[in-house]
Amino acid sequence: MKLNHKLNLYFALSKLIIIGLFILLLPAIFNWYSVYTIDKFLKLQRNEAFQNIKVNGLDFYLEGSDAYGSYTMLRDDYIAIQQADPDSLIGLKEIDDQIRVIDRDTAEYRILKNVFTHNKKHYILEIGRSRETIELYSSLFQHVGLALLLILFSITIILDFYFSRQALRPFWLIIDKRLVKQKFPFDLNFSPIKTTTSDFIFLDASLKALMESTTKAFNREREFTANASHELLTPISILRSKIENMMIDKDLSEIQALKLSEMDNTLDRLGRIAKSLLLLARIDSGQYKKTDKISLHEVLSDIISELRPMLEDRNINVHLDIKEDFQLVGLNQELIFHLFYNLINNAIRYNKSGGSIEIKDEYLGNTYQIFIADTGQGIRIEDLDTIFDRFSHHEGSGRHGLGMSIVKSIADYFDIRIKVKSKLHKGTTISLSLKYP
Amino acid sequence: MKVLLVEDEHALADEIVSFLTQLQYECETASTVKAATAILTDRYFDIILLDLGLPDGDGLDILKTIKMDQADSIIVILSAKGDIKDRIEGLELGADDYLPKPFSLAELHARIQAIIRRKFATNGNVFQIGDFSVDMSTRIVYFKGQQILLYKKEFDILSYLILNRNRPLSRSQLYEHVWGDLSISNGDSNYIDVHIKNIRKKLVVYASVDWLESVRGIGYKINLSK
Repeated sequence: MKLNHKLNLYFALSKLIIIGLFILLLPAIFNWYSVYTIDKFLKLQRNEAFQNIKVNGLDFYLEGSDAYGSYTMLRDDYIAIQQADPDSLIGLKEIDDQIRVIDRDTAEYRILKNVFTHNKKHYILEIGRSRETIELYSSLFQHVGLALLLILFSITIILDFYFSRQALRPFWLIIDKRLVKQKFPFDLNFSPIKTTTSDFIFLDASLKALMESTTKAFNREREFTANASHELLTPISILRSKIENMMIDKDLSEIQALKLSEMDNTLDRLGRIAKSLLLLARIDSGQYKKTDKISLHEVLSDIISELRPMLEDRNINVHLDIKEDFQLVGLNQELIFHLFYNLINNAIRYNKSGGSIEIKDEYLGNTYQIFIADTGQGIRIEDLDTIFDRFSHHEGSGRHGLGMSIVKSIADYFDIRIKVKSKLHKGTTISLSLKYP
Repeated sequence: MKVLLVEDEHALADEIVSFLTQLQYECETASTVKAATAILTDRYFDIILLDLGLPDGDGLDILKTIKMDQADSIIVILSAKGDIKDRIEGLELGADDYLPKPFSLAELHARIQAIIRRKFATNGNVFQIGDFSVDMSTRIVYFKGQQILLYKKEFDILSYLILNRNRPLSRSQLYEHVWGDLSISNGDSNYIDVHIKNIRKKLVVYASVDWLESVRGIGYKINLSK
């Protein structure tokens, strides 16, 4: 699940829980609050009533009778004064809810009762307010509240979605630019991703630091390989020339000459290993220009004509079926020649006498593919994975196991994807594909 | 021909000098930039073999001096560096060739000869073996005036053997000479046998090629002492 979906889901759930709780509690809260305000109101009304009684005198209201009552027209509230029996006043609550029948209408009222004495008589003052209005408001309030909350909820969810997307944008940019689009060797010339989120700044900087240290370690290893191979070349050169000069010696016995020759072959192999490692280091460090325009047909024809004597010697047929008026750009003539020379050379070397080699090309979408298929001994499945590894030992005796590593390095250098398919005793097909144009 | 070898590895310098002296070159050596510059101020050399990594500086600096004072000299850079940048820089500064270490002495000889042919366009580069004549300049082989067609690589091998005549050349030496940089990753010296077989086949039609000898366990040589 994507991070922002997760965040949004979490936001939505937490909001729903809070809103749910609020809606559950709302009636109780509303009830408590309305009772509180009504009580307050009733007390104010009472004070006002006493004030009026004080000014006008109680008799003004009683008009000789022993009770007084007044209702508003809709019977929302009423006021009543009546003489009371002192005994009935025991346990009287100041404010409570009671049912009253007024003009044959039964309604629940919140009633404030206040006892007072006038002319040595006990009176009770009742001020009531209908609860019906309260409940009406309460349910209205709940409905409106609910609708309002839902609207607000949706708005915040949408806002959350946009905000989290906006806030996470630098994160995706970092992932895309630093991890997805990067390819080793890394391009370290990048400016930090613009963001105000300190975590992302940290992440970006950490990734950059990690890439830099990886590149540094890789470079150190590459430099070491280059330096070590390079340091080997002069001693090898000395030994080689010594052996060569000894071989010229006319007094040399045949056995001695043979031994010297064996030493020379060993030195030759050592020299080729060192030179191959240097070549690999040179390719990896990008020393070769990628500016040549190459006609693949021409390159392959040249290679085949160079190898013609070997093909004739082993009676191997080559079918070259490559587009002629077609040029590849951004390559290096020397390296591409090396690459195909190696592959075709292998196709001859590991082929059977009287076998064949087929070289053809193909367009697939915007990729250009070249296939080199031989009818040779094939490669064992368990060796296929390591065929491009340095010093893998499938290349046969006398070879140093770097030929295919060089092929792979050159292919990688030009973003050429190389694949090997092989059937034991049937043959091997190497496919190279590159983006075109 | 006078040769100045600028090389700080004495063991290597000794071998090169010993080899070239046999081939009638007159050799002198210098092992530092300072010593080389001193020698070059008042003496002329036909050939200057130049190592780049010297203890007191870069061989390329000497190259600049040579180009000012002795513009006609043949200059071959001998280097273990082999960086493309160095190679290009060396050739741009006027070196005639660039031979990466570890090179074979026979190869050094062949390169020098090739430069001489190229630079001075000398005639008389035709070499006679019996009734065969090998024209090194036009790279054509004749039998009594009749042209024999050899593949490029076949001619390379034949001329290399002629140049180092009477001395055996190993398959790896021949392979390296003919295939150059490609020999790095493809050391299949059987290819040399195939080429030799073809050369013999093409020449034997006209006359005996006894002079092209196989040397058991080593390689091949052209023997003209018979």
